Amino acid sequence: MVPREEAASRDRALVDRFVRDRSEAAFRTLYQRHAPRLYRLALRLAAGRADEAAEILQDAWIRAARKLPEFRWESALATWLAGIVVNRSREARRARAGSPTPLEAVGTEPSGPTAGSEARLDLERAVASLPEGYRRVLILHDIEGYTHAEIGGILRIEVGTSKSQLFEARRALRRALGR
Amino acid sequence: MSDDEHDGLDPDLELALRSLPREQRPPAPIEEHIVQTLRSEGLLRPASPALRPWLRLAASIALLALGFASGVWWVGDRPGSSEGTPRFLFLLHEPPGPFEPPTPEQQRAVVDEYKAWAAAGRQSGFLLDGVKLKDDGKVLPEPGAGSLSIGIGPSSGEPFIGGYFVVQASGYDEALRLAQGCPHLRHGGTIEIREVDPV
Repeated sequence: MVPREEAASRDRALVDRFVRDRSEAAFRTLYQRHAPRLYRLALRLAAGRADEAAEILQDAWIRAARKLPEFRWESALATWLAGIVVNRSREARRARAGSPTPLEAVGTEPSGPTAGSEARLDLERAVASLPEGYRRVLILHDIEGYTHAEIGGILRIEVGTSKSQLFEARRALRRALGR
Repeated sequence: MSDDEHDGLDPDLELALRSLPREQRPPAPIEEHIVQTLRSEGLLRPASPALRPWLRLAASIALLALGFASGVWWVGDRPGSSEGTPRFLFLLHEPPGPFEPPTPEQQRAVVDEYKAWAAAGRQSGFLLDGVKLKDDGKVLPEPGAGSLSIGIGPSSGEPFIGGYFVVQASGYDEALRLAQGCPHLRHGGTIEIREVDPV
């Protein structure tokens, strides 16, 4: 791992190369740097549906590639990409409104069961069971570590709305965990 | 990222949420689908074929074929080394990828080049050891929470060290001459030459 400033400067160099030369190598490198985090985010937003998360990730990267020439670096690239994933997931959720949540698919452990993985799975399931709006804010704030100001920018909501939704989301999460 | 909003969350739960994994490698076909779509829209120019990512593989195969230990740093006397002769480290720097793979014929040709160079080096006694390094790595000091996790290898977007050779030579002049014969230079890699300090 490297400090955030160095990561940002690498991102910038790669984006410049992609925009200037339509460089596939630069685009693939950007993808490999950011896709694992975005995929995990998409999986959580999709409440564990792998097919939906894959669709979100694909569409989000295609949109991002089209919009990258207009990206003004007013936020970190990672935050901007996360915003596209979140907004694409909202559309996907609307399209799938009413379909049941596959809780058994949430929070899969690629490396198999380990110490603490059961507790993690319970927590992932509890997060997945939250109403969509609460889940979104809780994932962004409490798991991904975004500030309310950043969440406001991503979701295009007021900071106060983000705070109150987080408060309700945490209450619902505690209920889901039986605390 | 991250601010101080702890309302309604006990510290254990907060820690548990923060400790959930934040990365998961997506299925490989997703990347190909995205790249194909962007190519069809004219937003991507395909990468030109290059042998670079195969340098480490070729070096690795050559070293294994010649019986060198893999992944182990060696210091000290061993058969072939001459006491008192200066030793040099050839750090094999790789350009960042990814690149399109070569044909099997190209790949064989590169491996053969490395084998020939390593065999000659061992026979004449200048090549003492070598390893291929894995792509992932860590850098200290660790940055704060919330930063991106980045590998050291081809996906980092920066040149990186893919492996090294240990050679013995009478001095820098000879070490330079030996390095100039290494196939690594012919395929876009660079070699950093450092003398081992016998402290």
